[in-house]
Amino acid sequence: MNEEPANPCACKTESKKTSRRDFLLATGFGLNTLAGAMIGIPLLGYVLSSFFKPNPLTKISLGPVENFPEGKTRFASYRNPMPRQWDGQTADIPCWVRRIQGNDFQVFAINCTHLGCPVRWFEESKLFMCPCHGGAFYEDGGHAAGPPPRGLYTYEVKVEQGELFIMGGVLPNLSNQNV
Amino acid sequence: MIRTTLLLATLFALAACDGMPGRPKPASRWKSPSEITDFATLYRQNCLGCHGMDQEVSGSLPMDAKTYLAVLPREVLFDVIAGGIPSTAMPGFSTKSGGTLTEAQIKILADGILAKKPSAPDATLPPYAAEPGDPARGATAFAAACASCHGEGGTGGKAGSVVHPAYLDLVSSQYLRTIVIAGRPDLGCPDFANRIPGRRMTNEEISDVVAWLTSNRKNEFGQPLVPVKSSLP
Amino acid sequence: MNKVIQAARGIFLWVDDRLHLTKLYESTAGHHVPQSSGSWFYVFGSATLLCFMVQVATGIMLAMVYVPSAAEAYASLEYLTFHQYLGWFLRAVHYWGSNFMVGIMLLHMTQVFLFGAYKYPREITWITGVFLMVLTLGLAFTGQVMRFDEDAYWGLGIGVAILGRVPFLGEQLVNLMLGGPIIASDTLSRFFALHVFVLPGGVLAIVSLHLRMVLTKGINEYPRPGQLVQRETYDKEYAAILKKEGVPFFPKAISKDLVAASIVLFGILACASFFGPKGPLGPPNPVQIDTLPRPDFFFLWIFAVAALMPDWMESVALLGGPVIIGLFLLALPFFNGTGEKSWRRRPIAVLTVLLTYVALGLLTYLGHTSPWSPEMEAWKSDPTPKEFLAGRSPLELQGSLVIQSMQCRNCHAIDGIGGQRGPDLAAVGARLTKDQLIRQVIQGGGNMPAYGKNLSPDQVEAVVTYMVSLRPPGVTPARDSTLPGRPPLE
Repeated sequence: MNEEPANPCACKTESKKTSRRDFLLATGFGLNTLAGAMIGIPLLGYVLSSFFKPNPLTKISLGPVENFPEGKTRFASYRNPMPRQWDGQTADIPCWVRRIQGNDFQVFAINCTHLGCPVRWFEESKLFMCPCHGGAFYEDGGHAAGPPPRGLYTYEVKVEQGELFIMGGVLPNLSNQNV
Repeated sequence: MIRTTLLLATLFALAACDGMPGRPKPASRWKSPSEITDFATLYRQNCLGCHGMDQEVSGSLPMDAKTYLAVLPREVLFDVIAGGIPSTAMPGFSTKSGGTLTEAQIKILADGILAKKPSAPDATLPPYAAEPGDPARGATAFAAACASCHGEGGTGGKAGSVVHPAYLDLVSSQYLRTIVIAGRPDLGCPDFANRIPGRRMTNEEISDVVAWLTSNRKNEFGQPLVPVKSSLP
Repeated sequence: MNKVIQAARGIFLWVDDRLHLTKLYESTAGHHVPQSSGSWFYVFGSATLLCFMVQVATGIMLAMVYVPSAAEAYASLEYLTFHQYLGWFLRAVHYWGSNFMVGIMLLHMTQVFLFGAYKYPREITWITGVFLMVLTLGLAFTGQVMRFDEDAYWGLGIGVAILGRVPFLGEQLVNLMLGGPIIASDTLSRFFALHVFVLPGGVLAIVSLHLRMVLTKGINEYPRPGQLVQRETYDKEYAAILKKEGVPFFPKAISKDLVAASIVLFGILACASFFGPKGPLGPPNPVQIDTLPRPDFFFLWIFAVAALMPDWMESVALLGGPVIIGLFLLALPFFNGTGEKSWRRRPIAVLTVLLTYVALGLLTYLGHTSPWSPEMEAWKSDPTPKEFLAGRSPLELQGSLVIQSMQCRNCHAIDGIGGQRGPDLAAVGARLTKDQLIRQVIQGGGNMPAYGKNLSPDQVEAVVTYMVSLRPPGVTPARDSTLPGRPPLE
């Protein structure tokens, strides 16, 4: 590295040369920063696109209401409303459907509110039990025992022309199910 | 020479490697629970908790009681496993009634249980199901056939009360009839042929005893009685 | 002959002149280290790096067959395990390699901590090490997702449930982790990119910095009690040590590393060939809920922590815990950068290590046995032991059936058989009176659900009568202490 002269006016020709070099250096830096940003920002946007996407709740059919006997809680599943062709089995989302009576339904997400493990329904004791840390929930989804911080997550339910619909498509967790 | 040895050693190492005990066996492949078709496994996973096996004392009727198997129609067994018996401790196991077993698996269970049926059944077996008889005659028949263990009026004795209202509310009438016919070999309760010294209980006596037992059902605990409707004929 | 040697020497000198091999050797493998660091305690760092190299080699091989697609990953895993020649072996080496890597990294960190090697002037060596630990654990977690089976699927669900607890940003972070609002194909592709490109790349980059620090700031001399580190004098002291007893790392100090390396390699090979790979368990099918999600070995302790923590501190601990531990580790060389190095004079350091190991060991054991989980099949598959049925009245036998059919056994064992979540019922009649039992069954409490709505009065009568009869031979039923006739205390 050459030591720059302290006073550029000391030598005119040198100063001209230096200023051109400086200009090129600055241009080089500037252009590369610009180009880097033009590559980098789309890159970040690509990765973070899921960060800003609003969660799309879609109306999904769970089939005719007759499939669900009154007073019982039954297993049901639906396809992810925004699937990829290569989703395979992971696009099948399970849930528990409780038909209280008539068109009065409760649909629970399968995920335990503690750490998301799949809760299982026990018809006899009318409890949902979680295989991970022993969370238990009552028939109406209320917290019965164990570490879960709240009752089971529920889907919004609609019954139209004898068909049961839920608003689904999002993996429920504490951040999107604050009740 | 050295090269050949090395080559052989490498091949040998590779071959040995692929045969090491850590190699997963095809049998250890994951199987869906609905693919289990082995009777012993299915029975152990689903029935053993209440029905026991091999003359161990069990909570409910053991599934290897000879007289029971002799009178039990296959369809009834299949229907009970699939649909359960309402208002009793027997749940339905078919997927339709909220359980986890497929129809094929229930068939395997029913067949496996009935495989222990005595090959030459007694010709004079009472029918599995029948209309209840006369309670008054039943009291007499009970005194003759059952009171030696269950006490006078069925209220106690060494085998315990059979007229406790909670007990009578928790069992179906068919269950009572089945026990009167088949006994509880695991508990030492004899079947219909060995209760009264010297003779068998007649079908009429069996129906009468059941009628008398069910006539003892009371609403003692302040809740309307749920009529025990059996899905059985 | 002489001519041949001459020619060879000429070629070597030419190559060396162009490639500067001698200089490379002098500044790297031949750098001088204190003779005292040629110790068995100093082999863990190179052994961790060796594990990483094994992981890279086997990982590349596996990636040649594995398909990172949610629809096909499971099939390709099964193909690898059961059909591809030696595919199971590579999977096994990769799986055991990861276990060894995490374990030996922990040993390395412990040794560095106990020997005070993080102190002046090796702060950055330690800090890069902390980042390497985070990356290694990240590789372990993403690797568990690569084995795309039911455990992977529900493991992701656990990750979602933890991230979802982050205030304000929870939803966005969940979306970022999953690549969408739901566990699906984008999730697996994302974790594949992390596991195969991002994290190994990060490890390579930081390992080079880590090793560069070893070269510039030297390897820690074997600490002697009483020899204190001081910022003003340490550099001179270290230079004096190197001058007095410095030896080139290669070939003078490497021997023990080499022996340890072979032990590690043989260990991985032995485990791989005798125990084989893990899984794959059931397919990643969310509808198949007959599953017991468990994390891999190295995360079992977190699984246990999540079960045992009081509810109120759970979110704080799950989110704040890693941050606090991370900050503590990063700050360690700054608030404790000088002074005593030898563990013989650092009782708090020794206690910290012991406590950490005991806690991790216990939690891992508990996570493995997970006594807090209900046994989902116990109610229909675990019979009541016969001594708890024999001689019971018909009503009591019905009570035992209520216990079975109401899934009580999922949480309550009888004489050790059944779930371990609630108390064993074998002697419950000696502990609680009939009234207390009725209250407990109906109202629940103490982490038991209330069964009041789900049991008929008849069932309550039966089950309570039965439970009163559950006593060891010769023990009378529990008695109500408020009733008269209570004998004086002896």
